[in-house]
Amino acid sequence: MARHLYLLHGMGEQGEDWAASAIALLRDRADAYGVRARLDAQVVFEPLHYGEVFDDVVAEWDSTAEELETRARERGAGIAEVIGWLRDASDDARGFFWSHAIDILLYRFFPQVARQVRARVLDQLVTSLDEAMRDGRPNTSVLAHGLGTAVAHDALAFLGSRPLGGSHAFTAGNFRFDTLFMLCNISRALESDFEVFRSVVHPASVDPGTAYAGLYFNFRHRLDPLPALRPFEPAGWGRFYRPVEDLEHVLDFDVHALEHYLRHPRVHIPILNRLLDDPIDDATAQEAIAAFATERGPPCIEKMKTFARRLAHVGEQLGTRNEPITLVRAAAELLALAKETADECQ
Amino acid sequence: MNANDIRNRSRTGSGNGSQNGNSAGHRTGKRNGIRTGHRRSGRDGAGNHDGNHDGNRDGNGCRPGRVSGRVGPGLVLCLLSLLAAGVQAQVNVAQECQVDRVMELDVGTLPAGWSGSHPRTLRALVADRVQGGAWSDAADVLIGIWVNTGDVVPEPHRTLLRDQLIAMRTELAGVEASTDFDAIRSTGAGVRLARFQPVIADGRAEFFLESATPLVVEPALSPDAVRTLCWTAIAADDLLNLYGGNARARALSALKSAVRAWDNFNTKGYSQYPWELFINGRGGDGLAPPSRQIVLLHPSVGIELAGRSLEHLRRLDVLSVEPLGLLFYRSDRAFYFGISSVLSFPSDADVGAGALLHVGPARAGYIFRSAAGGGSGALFTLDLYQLLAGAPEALRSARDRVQDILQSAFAGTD
Repeated sequence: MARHLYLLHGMGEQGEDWAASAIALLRDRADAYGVRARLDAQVVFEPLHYGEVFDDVVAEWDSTAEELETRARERGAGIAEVIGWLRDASDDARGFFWSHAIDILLYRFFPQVARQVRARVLDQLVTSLDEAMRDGRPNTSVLAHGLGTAVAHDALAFLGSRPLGGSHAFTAGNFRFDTLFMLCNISRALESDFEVFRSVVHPASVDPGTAYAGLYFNFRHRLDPLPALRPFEPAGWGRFYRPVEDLEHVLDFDVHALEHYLRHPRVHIPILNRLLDDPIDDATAQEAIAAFATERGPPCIEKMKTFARRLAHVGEQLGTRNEPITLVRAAAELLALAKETADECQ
Repeated sequence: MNANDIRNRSRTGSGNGSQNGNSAGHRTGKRNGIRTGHRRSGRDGAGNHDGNHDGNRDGNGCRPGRVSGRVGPGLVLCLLSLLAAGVQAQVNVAQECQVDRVMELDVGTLPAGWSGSHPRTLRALVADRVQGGAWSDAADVLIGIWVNTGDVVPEPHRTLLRDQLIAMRTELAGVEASTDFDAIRSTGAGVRLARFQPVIADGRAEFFLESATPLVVEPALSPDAVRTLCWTAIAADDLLNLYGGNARARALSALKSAVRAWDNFNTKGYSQYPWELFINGRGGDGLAPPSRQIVLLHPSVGIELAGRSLEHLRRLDVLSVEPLGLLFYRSDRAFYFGISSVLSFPSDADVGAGALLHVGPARAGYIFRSAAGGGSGALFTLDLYQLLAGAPEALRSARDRVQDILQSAFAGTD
């Protein structure tokens, strides 16, 4: 019987192998602390994926528009302007929007898309849980990143509060995850069908009868602008809520990336300790944190400082807004800014 | 192995509070009238978290050897070793209470006293009752074992776990008493399936947090107590997990149906433009695709056969726009029907208006137009979505291009 860690990706990810580098990073870190064998023996990583839902929607729109436009031109019908909204932007300009930020837009503003995403995520999750629970109730946890935190919240809120086909097997009280790890938590910014602070997705230190998680970890990077919009700051969630919200490391320009979060010992040590029953003691953790502080970031320091200032500015602007749509723009801006700075550094 | 065997399993005390080591199994004695034989504490056959004392100490611990009226170095060393032993012997609660770590123990290598109380042994013990659907009887077995465990588990822990076992039994009996037991069982209703699932954190295992009197298993308890409490809770959880199997299967079946419906809706349903996707997402609930679909300003291309009379029929390539319509889907979303209003824009005739009937992928309608404008006619449209085999590849390749740009941009920045 193994422990299961279900991983949910953020925007712009797709396919079953999306988590390969994040898992490799966790294994590498476990190796450094001498717990790799335990990790390999005890934990099954199960990446869940839903990016294909967004892909298919966009592909349908894009291709339908293209086909319609072509055929209309062939037949002399002047309808290009009807669907011109799909064609206005150049490839470069809309690259990040179409490849990443569109996922946030579709998930938050198209409930039909969100429902399909939740259905597909829950299908993968419950299929695995059902299989794993045939020989006893295993220890199960969820690690979600960025958009995945909203998807995880909504899917688990559904699973934990609504009977499926009349079955209460997975409703709160009948099932509970051991731990939720939320990295760059934007579940509140994208809140829709389930109120984030009132749903069952909370730790057992608050209203334990309906708690869908034993412990709830929330990791936030100060320079990642996305969690700045309607920040996830629950009040009174008690001792099983474990926030780590003052990360500031910059080892890459894409500070939003899952791997960038995981590289910090204050992120991966709590994760490994929860998964493996606390094998890394405080002294070792402090050593690792001290050593990590000396790791170098991108080579062009001045650019990096400017980058950090600009990121902070984006975050500050977001913090004053309350509209989820601004998150879409911020996501595109973040990635564009990261690319721009990386280009300047080369 | 039966319940009596387990009830009568040998146990020892650890009356002086110290935790003995692996060799302690050689020690015997009596504690509170319970026959002792094998040590129950420690990681018998499954690890070695306890101390490794050699059992030379007697029940009084270190003997003070006096040298010139002063405490001798031997006693100091002995006390230090006891202190160290106390630290080493701190019970690893996670090891005893995490279900996977307990279940992975090789029952065959456990001493008889423990092998009989291992959750896998208890699962085998109640297997016949479970097989026969006598779930409350199975719970009775666990309760019977628990009330006969002696005083190894202190109060109030002992009573708290007993009460929860009884509550489980009551719930199971309640469902069994219903006339439609199988149906109710398949819903998971009426029984708290996660009753015995603890929160294990900070070196403690906390059970029944939702109750007014939670049970906290912490290192301050004796190893015997920790193991007895947690293994019994795991056995009870295992019983409930088995009981919930049908309900899980039912939930999974519902999810599979929902995903199949989405697949059908995506591949066999009527395509939606962004504004339609937005409109049709409103007001829905659950995980299934919509059962009704509003058609709104939906452009298509089609063919119209129009003319003032049959002799004058001619083919018109048209752009059609459905201003408004409504479609109804079958439950599996593999088929739909409905009707919409339609405007036809031919390249070489006047605009016509009419109605379009949807029956699955087939769409046909009638367009009214003045004779001077080209005449009325029959309209056949193609849902463009049906024409776009392989379209998602276009987006995927676009995404790949962006990923390539990202990778090349960020390469070497670490």
